Amino acid sequence: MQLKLFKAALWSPLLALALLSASSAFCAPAWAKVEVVTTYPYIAELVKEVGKDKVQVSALARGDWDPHFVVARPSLIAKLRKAELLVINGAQLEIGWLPPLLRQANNAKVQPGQPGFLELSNSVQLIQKPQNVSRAQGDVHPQGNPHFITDPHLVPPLAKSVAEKLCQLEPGDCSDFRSNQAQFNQRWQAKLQGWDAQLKKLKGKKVLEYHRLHDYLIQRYGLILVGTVEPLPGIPPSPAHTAETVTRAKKAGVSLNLRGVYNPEPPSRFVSEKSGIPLITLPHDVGAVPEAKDLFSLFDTLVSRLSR
Amino acid sequence: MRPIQRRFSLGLGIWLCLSLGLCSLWASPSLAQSLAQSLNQSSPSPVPTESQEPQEPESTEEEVITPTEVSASEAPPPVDDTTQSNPFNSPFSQQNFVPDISLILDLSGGLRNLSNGGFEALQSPLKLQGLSSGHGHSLNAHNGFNLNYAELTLQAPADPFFDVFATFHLSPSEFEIEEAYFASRGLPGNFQVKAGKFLSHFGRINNQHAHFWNFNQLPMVYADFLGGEALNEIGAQISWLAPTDFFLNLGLEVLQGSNAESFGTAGFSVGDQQLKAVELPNLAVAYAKTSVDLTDDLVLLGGLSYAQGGTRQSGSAEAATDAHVHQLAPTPIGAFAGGSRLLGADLSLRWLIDSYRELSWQSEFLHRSLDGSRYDATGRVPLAKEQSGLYSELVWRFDWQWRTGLRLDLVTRNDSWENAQLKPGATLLPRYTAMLEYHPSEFSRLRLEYNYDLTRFADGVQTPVQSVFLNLNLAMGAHGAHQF
Repeated sequence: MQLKLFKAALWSPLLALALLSASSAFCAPAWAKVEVVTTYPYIAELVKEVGKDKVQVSALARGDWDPHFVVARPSLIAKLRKAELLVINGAQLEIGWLPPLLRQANNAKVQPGQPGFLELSNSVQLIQKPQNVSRAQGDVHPQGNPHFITDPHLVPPLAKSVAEKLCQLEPGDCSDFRSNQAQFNQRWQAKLQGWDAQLKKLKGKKVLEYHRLHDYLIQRYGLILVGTVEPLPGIPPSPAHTAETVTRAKKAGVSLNLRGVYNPEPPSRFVSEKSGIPLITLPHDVGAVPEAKDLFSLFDTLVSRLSR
Repeated sequence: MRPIQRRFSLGLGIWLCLSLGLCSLWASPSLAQSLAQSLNQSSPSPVPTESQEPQEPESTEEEVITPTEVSASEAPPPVDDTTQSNPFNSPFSQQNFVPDISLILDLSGGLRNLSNGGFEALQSPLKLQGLSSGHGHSLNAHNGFNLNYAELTLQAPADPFFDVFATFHLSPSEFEIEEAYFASRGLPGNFQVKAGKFLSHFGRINNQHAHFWNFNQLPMVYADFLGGEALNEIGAQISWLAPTDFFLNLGLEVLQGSNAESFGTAGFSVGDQQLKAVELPNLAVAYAKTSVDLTDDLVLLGGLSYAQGGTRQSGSAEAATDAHVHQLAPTPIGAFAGGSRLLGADLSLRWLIDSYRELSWQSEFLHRSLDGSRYDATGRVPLAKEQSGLYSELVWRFDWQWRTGLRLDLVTRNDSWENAQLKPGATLLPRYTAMLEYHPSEFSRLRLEYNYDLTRFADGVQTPVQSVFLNLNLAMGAHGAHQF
């Protein structure tokens, strides 16, 4: 009795596994679109622009939540399992949540180093790469600041690397990807002129931000960063530090107080109320605010909020 | 006869696992192709990064970050790469191949309403030998200060085919390999093979390390049925992700089965009766886990697990015949040989309110059926047990840095049959735990925990145990990322 049960316990799952795997192997249709998974919604938009109807894209994270901390819910493993291409932001923005998902996805195609893996941070020049890292400086990113999507000038090189990757995976559709990318680039350059014209007016203005989320934007348009509301990356401010920030911001003549939609509001609001510096909440990703529906409207929103 | 058949069936199981893995490797041209590609492409990045600008250290608060003039179309000028000519760079330096290393340190200080000796002598009604302490790690074991553990973890891919993990559990008097295993990286068909010493994927909490638990102690059902280290065995696992849009993970493990509580392989002799040690894998585990997002913010995870294997206990025969004071008090089983079946059901629900707030509810039910013979000097007596218990915990993260939670542990069934005669044990015994956590950063955690335990006995008399401990948990080194 005991023994029979034992045998059954051993055999039945194995048999089920073998049958199910055999059935799954013969079910993949050849005409299917390239199944692309991206970590953040802005990357999904980028892939849609380049891949159009040749790709099926979904993003793992939500655009309105903290990109550093994404809950590794198992439904994300199910998405990664069937992916043929995984596109990530990189520069360790995903370090706190993606590795275990990728390990559990049992998908050889999208592991780092495989053709189905693309890290966008490789196609931009990262700023603020620390020479030495220590967690005494907070949760620093050793490869540099990963929030490069706040600079609209860095979007075209990202689209280019997506197009190259898609060409590598689907050489037959390469000309489509290249022409989609060229069209996107044209539309982007047109919009960029307007955004540049607006944002160049901010040159030389002093700003405060909650986290070093907008540094690429700040650097691009010649703004001056006076400090951050959080004392160190990933360390929430104490009341004493917040009070000190108010004094410092007033003394330096700061005119903009920036925060991402997911950054805790009370400390930034306190600084703005005490100093009279307007608080501006900026979208950092597609979907961060309802108006930021795609890459174009993301920067439209960002620019209009900044030049208000 | 029986052990031979068992060996045979286990041998078949292992053979099937291996052949399944090898066949799928053999039969998959896509894997071979991707492996070849990965070998040809030593650098996977499609666009080479230009050399860095002169590097600025992270600015301190006082610094004003100077604007860098970057015109809209112009990239910053490249700077010579000086590392090429650095005379201190050894041509054979392998620094870049250092695996991810992390060390997690857990310290505590607190008090219990019992002396250390009194706490160690406590009896547990679900345990086979009755003693509450014993094998495995125990946290907050002493009144006053405790260095609970330092857990050193190394991990890295060995090559394109294997990921290697090792966790060393260090306590003041022990150096233990808690886990050392490989996991396959590239099996086709959504399979993964794992082998070595690892925490079994039985149930929900079993394969989590102590620092990831919501409370300091392992849930009572795990500690009592499987010991303080839970099901941590040497063996092999094959798991598979079903090609469904929702998460469905099925797995099978074949393990040596030398668990201190439910499963064992050791031989023993009582009087003139001798039992040889079992020298082949003795334990099989099967599990199914599934998860769906009920809404965008509400995630459900459920699982069913089953473990079956041989049981050996070599307690002293005298202890088993000791008269006991309380009728429902735990009785040591003494020397025992037989089999155990363990059934686990788990259900978790997590409501993600925003990036930093969530409410989570996690429960597990475990049932053990034990069947075999107790050996003493006069011969052997048929003995069976049907035992079950559960835990249910509610944790609320109400702020980036704060969490609080409650847990209930409960013994729900504890029946024994000796010579087919029923002897009911104490049931509906609860243990209550409450905790409050403060996280100064992502890498440190202070936890204040109060524990009120009504499941323990001392000299056959139910004895309430109360304790208050403040634990400090620190993580250094490689950034840990946790599973759901």
